[in-house]
This record gives sequence, structure tokens and C-alpha cells, in this order.
Amino acid sequence: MTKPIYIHGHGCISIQPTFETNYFFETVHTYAQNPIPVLDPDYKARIPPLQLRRMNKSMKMAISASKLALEEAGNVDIDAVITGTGQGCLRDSERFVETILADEAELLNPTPFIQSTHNMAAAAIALALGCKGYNMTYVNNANSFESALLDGMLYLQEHPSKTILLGGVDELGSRSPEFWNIAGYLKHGNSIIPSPMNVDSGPGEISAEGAAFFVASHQEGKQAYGKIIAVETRHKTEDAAAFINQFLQRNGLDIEAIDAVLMGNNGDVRYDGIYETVCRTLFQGIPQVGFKQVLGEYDTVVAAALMLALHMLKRQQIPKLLHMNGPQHHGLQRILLYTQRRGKNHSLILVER
Amino acid sequence: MSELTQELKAKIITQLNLEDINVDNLEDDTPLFGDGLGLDSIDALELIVMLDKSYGIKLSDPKEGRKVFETIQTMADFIEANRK
Repeated sequence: MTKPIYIHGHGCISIQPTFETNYFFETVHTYAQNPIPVLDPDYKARIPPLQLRRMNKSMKMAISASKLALEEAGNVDIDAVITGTGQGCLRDSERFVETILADEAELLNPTPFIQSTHNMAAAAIALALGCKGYNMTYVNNANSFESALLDGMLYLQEHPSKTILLGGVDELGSRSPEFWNIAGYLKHGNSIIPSPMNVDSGPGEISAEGAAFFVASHQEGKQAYGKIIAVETRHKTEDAAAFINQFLQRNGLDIEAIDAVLMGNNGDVRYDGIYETVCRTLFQGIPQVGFKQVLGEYDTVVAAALMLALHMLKRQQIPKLLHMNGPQHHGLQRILLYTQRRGKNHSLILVER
Repeated sequence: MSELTQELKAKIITQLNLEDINVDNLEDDTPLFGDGLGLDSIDALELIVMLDKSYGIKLSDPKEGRKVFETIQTMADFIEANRK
């Protein structure tokens, strides 16, 4: 068991204006397209123009979200940067591969080559902050952020006096959505945000992008949003309810100890049944809250969901737009996040006030 | 020659993503590195690739590059003298 870690600040860029101070999903941007790019903040406000001009989308989003998190945490010194990304810097990877094909590997532009690696966002953050400490990037599909979170908890266990920056980032590619479409991942028609929940909207996801970063430490602090108690991932499971039950047992809790559950329903009729089964067997009397119906789907969207959970704990409120069932909460002390993507990469994050 | 300098400016602005600069406010004799545009070593590599792709000129001697990439004008002179 790892010790809880406290979250002192966060920054989030997504298809909703989550970078605005105190944004809480009271109103949301609507979309009728697929895929959906993020709402861009003023990147120049936090990144010098000479550095900005060469940065790809992941780097811009990651640095801006990191600086937002740091501003909120009082611009503390950071000892380590730990990120998760499912796809890495997709656009530069595409450009790099396309140039290899077009020029038969003769003439390759250096910028997309350098920036096509998955750890570029973490490196750019470290450079921007002057952080020469531990720097790690996890690439585990839809469990990438959770892997970074677990590593962050282990790092702080070994270095209890340190403060870390951890987060997740994923960008949309220029060509990749065409491939995802061929693979049957994208939703055709009914690509509406906010997506209607509990309605059969057919197969496929609404693809999006985003970044969310957090300043974390073992110190409680006065302004902390809340603490992360535990995180667990499982690549595949035939029984998600058993996975959740075992997780709660390992943490000495039963279902009644959970005040709200954040679920990763994304409107893909092929896999949302997993959530429905879990809700029916475990969470019928507990407020169920969605997030992908307003944030879309990408590998590290759970980082944005963690931001939502922390806001819910601090405000003691559930955004009406995201509340998916009837039961109301009676004080939010403990929130469980459960998500999976395409029936794989199941994960649980337990957050406490 | 003026046509070539204009073309070069447009290519450099696009290739190096110089957002706040346009063809009209980039002078022919503005230093590309140091106190002028402030380009760096990665930009120098981008310019070498551009010379090869757009004008068929291979620049193999790094010392030569220092002179060639001094300004837009020196680049244009070099291209005029060496293009295939």
C-alpha cells in the first residue's frame, strides 16, 4: 500500500473551457463533429514566443497545463515530472514518417524527428521549469495517466519531502483519425457533445484531445483539493464488478463508503454495457457521474476526470449536467473513478477529501 | 533577385513557424542568427534541408553555412550561384 498524496494545484486543457478559473461544467461547449480539437488557451501567456513557435500541440498543452497547476499551487519548486501519454506527439510522428516515405529517408526535417518521441512533453516541461530531477513518461494506452500516477505515489513514498508534477496529455493527429475510422473506433453520426447518456447511440467513440497536470506531495497543506488514496489498473478482466470489489476490500472499504462514482461511459454501445453491469450490481444507490460525454475520449482523459473529482470534493457538489442517475449525495468524502476503453485498460482511482 | 528574396522569406517564415513576422517586415539584410531573427542550431538544420529540397543545393561544409545563412541576401546570392 502506498501513502496518500495530496493535490495542491491543477491545470487542465480540454474541449471544454477547463483552463478557466473555477470552471465546473455548469455550461458546456456543444459540438457536432468527430474528432474534436481542444479549446486553446492563450499559449503565449505562459510560453515565450521563441520557444512556442517550434512546439507541437502536446508540448503546448502540457506546458500550459503544468504552469496553471503550478500557479495554483503557489509556484513551488518541482522535484520530478511524471507524465502519461497514450499516443505521444502524434502530429510530428506523422510528419516524420510521411517525410521518410516521401523522400525515401534522404532528407528529414530535424524538428518533427526530435519531437516525435513520446517523452517530449515531459522533457519540454522540465526545460520550461528548469527541473533537472526525475523525469519519466509512461505509454500504456488508456492506462498511461494511471501508470504515471502510480509512479508518482511510489516516488513520493521514497522521497516524502519532495513535490512532483504529474499529468497526462494526448493530442489528435492529422492523419490518425482516418486510420481509427477504418478500424471502427470512431462514431458515425450521433457525434454530439454533450452526448446523451443511457441512449443507444450506436458503436464508436467521439475522439478528442487534452492535457491535465497536478502538483502533488505528501504534505497536507491548507489549500489541497484532496488526496489520492489508491490507483490500480488491469489490462483485461471478465468481471469488472469483482475487480472493483477486490480493490475496495484491499483499501478496507465497502460500497457504502463511496459517496459518488465517476464512470467512463463514452457512448460506444459495444462497451458501455460494462459500466451498466457495474452500476446495476454495485452502484445503484450511489450518484453516478459521467465525464466523457462532455470531454470526449482519449487515452489520458481520466486525468481531466481526476480534476473533476477534486473539484467535486472541494465544492461538495456534482455538476448537474454530468449526474447520470437519481440518487443525490449526502456529503462527498470519497469518490471512486472507474474507467475502461474498448473493454480493456480498466482502472480505478480512489480520491478522498 | 528580388523575387528570390521574397520567395526565401516566405519559405523561411513558413518552415520555421515565425508567427509574428511577415514578408514585409523581414529585411534582406537582417541577420538570421544572433541579434537578428534569433534562429538557433535546429533552425540551421531546417535551412540546410530547405536548400536541398527546394533548390537542389547540398551544403556539406558547416563553415560554408555560417556565411551562407548570414542574411536573406547572402542566402539568395548563394542560391543564384549554385542552384541546379
